[in-house]
Parts: sequence; structure tokens; C-alpha cells
Amino acid sequence: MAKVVYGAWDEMVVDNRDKRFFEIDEFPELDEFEEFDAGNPVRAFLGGKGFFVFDKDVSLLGAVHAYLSRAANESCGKCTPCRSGTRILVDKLEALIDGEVDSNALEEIRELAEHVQSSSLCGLGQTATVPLLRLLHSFPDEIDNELARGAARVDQPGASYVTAPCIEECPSKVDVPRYIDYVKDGKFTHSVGVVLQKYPMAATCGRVCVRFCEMACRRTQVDEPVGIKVLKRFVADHEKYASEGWFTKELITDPKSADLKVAVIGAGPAGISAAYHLLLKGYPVDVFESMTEPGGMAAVGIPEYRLPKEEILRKEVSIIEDLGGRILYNQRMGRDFSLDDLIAQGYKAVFLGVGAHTGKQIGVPGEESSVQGYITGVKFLLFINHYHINMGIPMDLGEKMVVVGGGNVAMDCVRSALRMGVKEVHIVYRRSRNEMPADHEELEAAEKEGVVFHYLTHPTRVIAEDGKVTGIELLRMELGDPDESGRRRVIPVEGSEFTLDTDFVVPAIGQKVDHRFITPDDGIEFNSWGLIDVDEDTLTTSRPGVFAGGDAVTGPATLIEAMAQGELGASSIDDYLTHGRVTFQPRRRMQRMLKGLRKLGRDDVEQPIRHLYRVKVQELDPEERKRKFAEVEKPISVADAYREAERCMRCYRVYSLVTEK
Amino acid sequence: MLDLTVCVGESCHLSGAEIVLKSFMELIEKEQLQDTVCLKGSFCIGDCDDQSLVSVKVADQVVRTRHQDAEQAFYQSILPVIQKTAINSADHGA
Repeated sequence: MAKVVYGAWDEMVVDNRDKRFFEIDEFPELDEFEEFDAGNPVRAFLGGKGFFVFDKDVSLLGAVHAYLSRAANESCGKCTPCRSGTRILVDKLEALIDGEVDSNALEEIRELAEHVQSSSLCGLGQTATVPLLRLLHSFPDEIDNELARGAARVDQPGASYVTAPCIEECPSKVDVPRYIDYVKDGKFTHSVGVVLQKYPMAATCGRVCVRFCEMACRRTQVDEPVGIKVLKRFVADHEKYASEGWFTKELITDPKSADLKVAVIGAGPAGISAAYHLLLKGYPVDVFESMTEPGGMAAVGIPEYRLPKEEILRKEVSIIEDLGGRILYNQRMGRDFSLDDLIAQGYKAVFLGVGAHTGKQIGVPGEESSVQGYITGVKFLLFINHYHINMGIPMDLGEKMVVVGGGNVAMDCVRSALRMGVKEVHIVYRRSRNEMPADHEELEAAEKEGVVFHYLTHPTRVIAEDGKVTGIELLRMELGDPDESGRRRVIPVEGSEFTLDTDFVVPAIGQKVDHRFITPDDGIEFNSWGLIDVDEDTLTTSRPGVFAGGDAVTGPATLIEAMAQGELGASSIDDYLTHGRVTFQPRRRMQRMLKGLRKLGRDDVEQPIRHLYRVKVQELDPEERKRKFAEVEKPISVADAYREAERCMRCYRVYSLVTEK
Repeated sequence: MLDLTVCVGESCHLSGAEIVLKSFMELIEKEQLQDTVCLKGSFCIGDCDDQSLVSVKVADQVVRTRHQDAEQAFYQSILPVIQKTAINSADHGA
């Protein structure tokens, strides 16, 4: 664990310079700061709230100079204090370090740094001079000391990163403030381009993303988070990148030789994203898909009213073919081919993005998959989305349905059932409304559309007659004391059993990976959760050359997490095929360091901001929409997009490191 | 109208029920049976096995086929039933 010799962060000043090394207390929050890559200790760390020095011989003036240089290079140039101020400060620090001016210049430097901090328009300028100011304020003697010893130098090894709270929370690390900036400027092409650097499914993501970015948005402290998802959908819908031939083989600048071909298993979000990045890196890619349509869980798990398949999802997937990749349909691994077959056919690397498509059972008597009317939530959605809507096959669903669970899959099931004409749709959830894991918007929409909710209720038995579901036996629960995770326990109420008549019982309480795609000979190991066992930083599996990502690795997660894993898998495969092994991933290392750091101080909004509430997305009327699968959310206007983009505060932060080598 | 029901339950789905459905759609069109047969999907009809077979139900008769052999199954086992039922109902009509 790294020991801070001295430093200043947020409201804290640490000075251990007169202590011996073993006497220094450690910060558990900084346990990732010991070394950057193997054998390369972190000597100093600088960020938007101050700095830490771990090695007293480091030239902090030099480190501050490097930090400011990065900020100056990042400055968008739209406001003078940041554009010119940071540049002047860089020059002045350089003059100081080179001995052209003496420490009398420090007063002028401090004044200018304060000016840049207080008058810059966005987070970049407002934090660019913080490490310098904290140094000048708390450790002026270190500057004198460094200058007197002639120890100040600018050429220390290290690294620097520019990020923002929204970027850092996004699994794919999309440069959110940048694409919002381009909306402000009316450059919608550039804006969607920022997203397309990360994944091809921008319009899909703009519709169904769970928005980790918005949860991290600092604008929440002022009024409401910026409508990041809405803006993404806006630019993605505005620019027809998938249908107007933006993607051609000419985009591939460094084509690799034809024998370096890669197989991707599964045309879901993880596989498509992996294929996209591999193709752009120049590898020939074949995607093997078990179904007759692409999209994986995005196609079969997400209802049409949230994500139109024909005009959105399938067009975005076709980008893979525009880039020269092949998608081979009706190719189920374990049924039509094996891992060894792929290697024998000359594939040099394989990415497994097979997903988690098997629904979990509740674990009560009467749950037999051969009983008519008993079907897991994820399969129910597959049948509605794929067989009924996509293939046009009629299905009889009966009059009444009970869905068990409180997540987004449960919401998708009940809302789809209504649209299929089921008259009475119930949800059974064992905790109360506050504990429901489903998106609040989804929950409200289901309520508006007339779903009957039974909270604090748990099934005890599925009732069937003549091989057909006729009802479900339920038990009332009550809330008890909180458990270790902070959620309140639920306790069954004795003797409170009651029965609901129903034609269908649909458990939507989670999914697992179907292991039948692999045989023991394939050499792929699973962990105790039943997920493919991988190194989380590189996605390498137990078999060399085979990588895995998406739900099959994370368990049922989100579109954006799967796409991020696809990108990571592609980068690891590129490493593997270039160097024979996967190399160090500095960006992921940095991500972990910043995660610990966030616990050390809050990132409060200090500048006054005028309140401006976020744009309201118009929806189809609940009575109208609940009988059909048309998209519920309507697009926003150009004027609303400009207005929403203006709400972004551009909370860019520079982080930099001084390392040994 | 006669129901031709393809099981799309767990096991049949994995065995390629969608391919069977697609071939049946084409075959129904080719044989001009659109007004005679209604192609349907159904959740598990209970005749599962794990031999990569898809269950198909026509006039209370269950036929099992591999997805690759859907066309053969249609002509050998399903079309005769359809024709027989169609003739029967025509007789009743008369």
C-alpha cells in the first residue's frame, strides 16, 4: 500500500515529511497507488482536487508543469482564462524550473492560477490549476527547497488522463461531454462520431441504456442530470450512419493478412462490439449466430416498443457487414460446430459472447418446463420478440398472466403481455416498491398501463391441472430488519397463503449461462457462479487464444457493459495476435485508481449555476400504446436538443502520474 | 382452417424451431395452402427430447423432425394429414 509523504486533497492536508517511512499511516482508499504497471511505482499523483507525493525525491514543480501542459492541450479554447491562462502558466513554470526567473515570480503565478480557476467556464479550467494552488498554499517550502537544490525538472516519466465523472462511470468510456459539446455547436455528425468510436450501436444505446453516466452527472447537485441518453438518441437518429454508407472497408487503415481470422460467437452487443473493433483493426472476422436474426439479448430480450428492431437494431448490426465482416446465422455452438472445429478451420482467436439466455427458476413445487403455461421471463420475451413480432407467428397467450420478479425483465414481460392482448397481468414481488430493482421509468410505465402489482408477496407453488397451469399459490411477506447489504429482510407471514387463478406463470428473477455450447474437451472453465472464468482486465479464458465477454462473463448485465467488454476483448485479441500475449492496459489501471480516490472526497459544484430542468420526453398515451408494440418514447426536437446540451457543465478533470519509468 | 403448430419451447427452440417455422412458411406458400393451414407457434407442448428434434403438432398428431429435415417431414408426415383433414371437412360440408 502506498504511503503518502505529503499531499493535499480536497479538504485534507497530509504532511509526513518528518516521519520515518514505517511510521506513516496508510490510506486504504489509495491501495491501488502502489505501482502503475508491474515494477513501476507511482511516485506522485495529481488531480482536480490536489495531489499526493509518495516519493519525496519527485520534482513536484515538474509534475505540476506536466499536469498543466496536459490541461492546456485539452483546452477547447472557448474561454480566454483556460485557453491562454494555462498556456502562460506552463511557460512561467518552465522559466522557473529552468532558472530564468526566481521565486519572486511565484506571486504572479499564484494570482494567474487563481484567476484561471475562478473565471474559466467549465470543469477543465476550473480544476487545471488546483494542484499548483494547493502546492503554493500548503507546501511553499517544498518549492523553495526544490529550486535551491536544483532538483526541479520537467522530464519525469509518467502518464496523464483526461476524464469526467460521466465518462468514468460509463463502462465503454464514451467521451460524453465531447459529444454534447458537438450538439451545442450543431455538429451532429461529429457528435455521433464520438460515440461511434466506442461502439456501432449508438441509436440502440440512446434508447435502452441504463445510464450510469447520468447517475454520475454532477448537474444533479444543481437540478437534474443532463439528458445524456436522450441527446445520444437525438444525434444517432439525426445522422443516418448505418444506412447511408458511412462505414466502408476504406475505413480500415491497417488490414491484416487473411490468415489472421477471428471467430466471434454470438451477434449480441458483446460480439458485435468485438467484431466492430476487430474489423476496424484490420482483422477478418466471422460472427457465428445461433438464431436467424442478430442482436442477441437486445433483439430477443428488449421489447419492440422500447427498441424498434427493423429500422434501428438490424441496421446498426449491418455495419459489421459494411466493414467486410460476415455474420453466419443459424450456427449454434455445441450443436452445429465446436471450439475445436473453429481452430481446425484456421481461426487464430475466438471471442465467446454467448450471453446468459436461460431463465432461473423460483425453486417452488410445480415448476415443470413441460407444464403448459409455465415459461421463464427471458424465454417469454424471446417468443414475443422473435417468433411473434419478427417472424409473424401467431401465439395464444390466454387471459391471465402472473410474472414473478421486480427487475427490468419482469417489466418487459408484463408490458409485452398487455400488448399481446392478455387481459389481466399481475406482478408478484417479494419486497416493497422501494426495493424494486427495475428502472423507475419502466415501473411507472407498467403502472400506468394497468399492470396489477402484488408487493411483499412470494410464490409457494405453481398449480397445474392436466399438464396446464391453472393458478399460483402465494404467501404474504413483511419487512424485517436490514441485512448486511442494507436491504430489509422479508419474513413470511404464517398462514397468509392465497391463490391467484392464471393461465401463465412467468418467473423473471434472473438468468444464467447455458453451458451446453461447450464440452469438457474444449478447455473452457466456469467459475462458481456458472459464468465463463476470465481475467477481468484482459478477458482471457482458461484456453489460450479464446476470450470471452458480455453476459456470459458478467452474468445478466446491461447493453453498455456488454459492448464495453466486446471492445476490451477486441483489444486483447489484437494484443494476442500481435505480441502473443495481452499487454498492460493503462486506462483500466487508471480507472481502478480513480475509483478508490472518489471515496476520499466529494466533487461538489462550487460555481453558481442557473437552474434549468431537463427536457421532458414525450410519450404515447398509455391507453393507446398498451395495445400495440409501437415505440413509446418520441424523439426530441432540435431546439430541445440545443437547450439540453447547454445544461452540460463539462466536468473534465485531468489526472496525471509521475512514475519510475 | 387447420392449425399447424410448431413447438418453440426451450428444447425445440435450441433444436432450431425457427428454421422449421421458416421452411414451413415457404412450403405453405409453395403448396398454396394459405387458406387451409394456419401456422402457429406454441410454448412447450410437452413432447421434449434432447435429440435435436423439433415437435410439430397437426390435427392432434405430433411429428418430430430435425431442423435440417423440415421439408422432408412436411411432405412425408404433415402434408398427408393436412390433405386428409381437408378432404374430411369438405365431406362434412357436403
